[in-house]
Amino acid sequence: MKIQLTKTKTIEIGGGGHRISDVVGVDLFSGVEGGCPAVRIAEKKGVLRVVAAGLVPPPAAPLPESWEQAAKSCTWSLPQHFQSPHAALAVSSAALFVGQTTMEAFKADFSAGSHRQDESAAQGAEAAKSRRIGIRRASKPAAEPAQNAAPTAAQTAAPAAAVEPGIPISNGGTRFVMKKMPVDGDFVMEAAIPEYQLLWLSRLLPEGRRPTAASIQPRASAIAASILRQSAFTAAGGSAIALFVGEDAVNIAGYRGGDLVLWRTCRGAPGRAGIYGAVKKGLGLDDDMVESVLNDALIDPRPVLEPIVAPIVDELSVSRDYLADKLRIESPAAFVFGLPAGAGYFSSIAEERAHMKLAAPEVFDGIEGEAPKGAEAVPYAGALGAALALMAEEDGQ
Amino acid sequence: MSAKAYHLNLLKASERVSSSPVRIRVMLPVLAMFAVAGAVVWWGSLLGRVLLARASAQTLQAEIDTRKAAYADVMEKMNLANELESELEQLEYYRAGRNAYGGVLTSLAEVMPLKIQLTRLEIPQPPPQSLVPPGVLPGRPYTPLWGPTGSVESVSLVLAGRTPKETPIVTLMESLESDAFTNLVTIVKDPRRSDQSPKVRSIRQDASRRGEGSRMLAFEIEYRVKDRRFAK
Repeated sequence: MKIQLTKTKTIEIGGGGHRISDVVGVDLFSGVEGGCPAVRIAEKKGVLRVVAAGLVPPPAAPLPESWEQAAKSCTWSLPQHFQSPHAALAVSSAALFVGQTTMEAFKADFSAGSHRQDESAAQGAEAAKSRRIGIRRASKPAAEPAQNAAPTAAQTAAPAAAVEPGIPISNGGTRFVMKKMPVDGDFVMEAAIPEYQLLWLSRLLPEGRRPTAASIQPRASAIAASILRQSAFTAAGGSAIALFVGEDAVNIAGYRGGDLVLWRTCRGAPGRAGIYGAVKKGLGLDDDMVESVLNDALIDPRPVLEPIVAPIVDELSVSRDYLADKLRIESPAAFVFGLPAGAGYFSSIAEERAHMKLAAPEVFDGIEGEAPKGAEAVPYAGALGAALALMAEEDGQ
Repeated sequence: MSAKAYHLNLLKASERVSSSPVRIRVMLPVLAMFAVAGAVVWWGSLLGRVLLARASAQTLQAEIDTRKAAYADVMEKMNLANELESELEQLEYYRAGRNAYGGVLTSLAEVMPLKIQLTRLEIPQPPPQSLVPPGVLPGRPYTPLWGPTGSVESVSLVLAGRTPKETPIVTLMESLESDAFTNLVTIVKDPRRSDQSPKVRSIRQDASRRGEGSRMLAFEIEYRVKDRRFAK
């Protein structure tokens, strides 16, 4: 049991005997219309159930873009049926980075954090677009008034050697966390977010009221955890390759033994919005017709889809070969997630080009209880993944 | 910590807060304050009682000091009273142990045969009582008792006189066996008994140089008389 003595002092009693079994996952600022997707799951006697799933009203204020905005704290509460003791927040932010890199690159990037802190806002915006190591940084403006309590780079600079896997650390106004991947080599999964955004998020759910934040994760990595309870995934022993189609990006994840061993972003892939936009434009459809066309065989959208999907499938094929050659993962289960419609076309194109059949299971497959199904369930993947990741982490401790 | 590379938790452990409305960091100082307040009240009450007891003790001590002289006087008088009571008691014992012989001895003249002359009438001192504690073996050292423990004292009456040979002493002894002397002397004629009374201590030729001394006998007879009992 963790007892918080002061704001900064926490002691743990009982040596980790406590495990989290009731979590609400919330997908914050993901752009879903109508609110924030939230999923409350609880494990009882080894059975995981969905207690509640739905859209909850978003926080009153948007995610801050600067230290000034972060100073105005915002408190938020969830509807009663989502009030579990713990919350796992999946966060989407333009300034947030998540990706696979090497330890060496991470340390170099970590060390560069304090230098970047002192750059101008324009340089920061430029750096945010950089995808070499992928970190988007919303740096503190150089002309920021002194009374704003943003830490200076010199104050927050920390040596790269001080970074421990799984322990978040602040450096140069950015919050970093890194985890080693269970593979040969020096690969790590890394996430970084501006410190002011993280501090704002950490104060969003106040102390003494259910729930409080136990985990704040990038939405992309949270979605990677949404696969954990899939029946086909567990049946394959946790060895799989999955294609996660996001709103504006497509990611490929490889798993071995249930843990993440590969994470890459498809360069230039347009994401769900781009794909659906291309279908709409190519076939001259209205907005509400796109999903119908992709679900039903009214018109064959393959001529429009193939130029977009083929490069993604090619990257998927390369990733599969990497898993087979380097990590000895033969014939992993293959999935595609994040598509309310058109998953069948993805699968058929993948089958034709890479001899790989992509399954598109329900988001809540493998979990009992009443939950949204089909296309309605797609927006909940981030919330579910955040909750599952937190539970899996606590189980593993 | 297990790998779980998909769980990139950016929240530091120190930033995690409890959802329980009971917050240790709030409750601990509150409980501590209550405990301290309770301890202070208890200590204050204890101190008050101690001060009260101390003041009461001082008052009592002052009262004792003021009454000490009077108390000593009372104790002295009580000791004196006890002593006097003891003396009185002793005197009561002596009074109880007093035997009156005057009337009896007056009537002795009336029964005395004419030819017998009493030269000495003595009630001798009783033999000293044993001061050896009871149970002490002979020859062993012992601490003698403070005084006699018995309250009964044997008393004897010695009659010494002269008589001519014609007048036997038996005449006098028979005279003393009359009712008038029953309360004075004890008559036990059995010679085998240790408390035989009277006992003829001596009969001898009178050795006085007078002319008639050759015809006179001097005698000493011891009678056991009533014991003196020192009791109320």
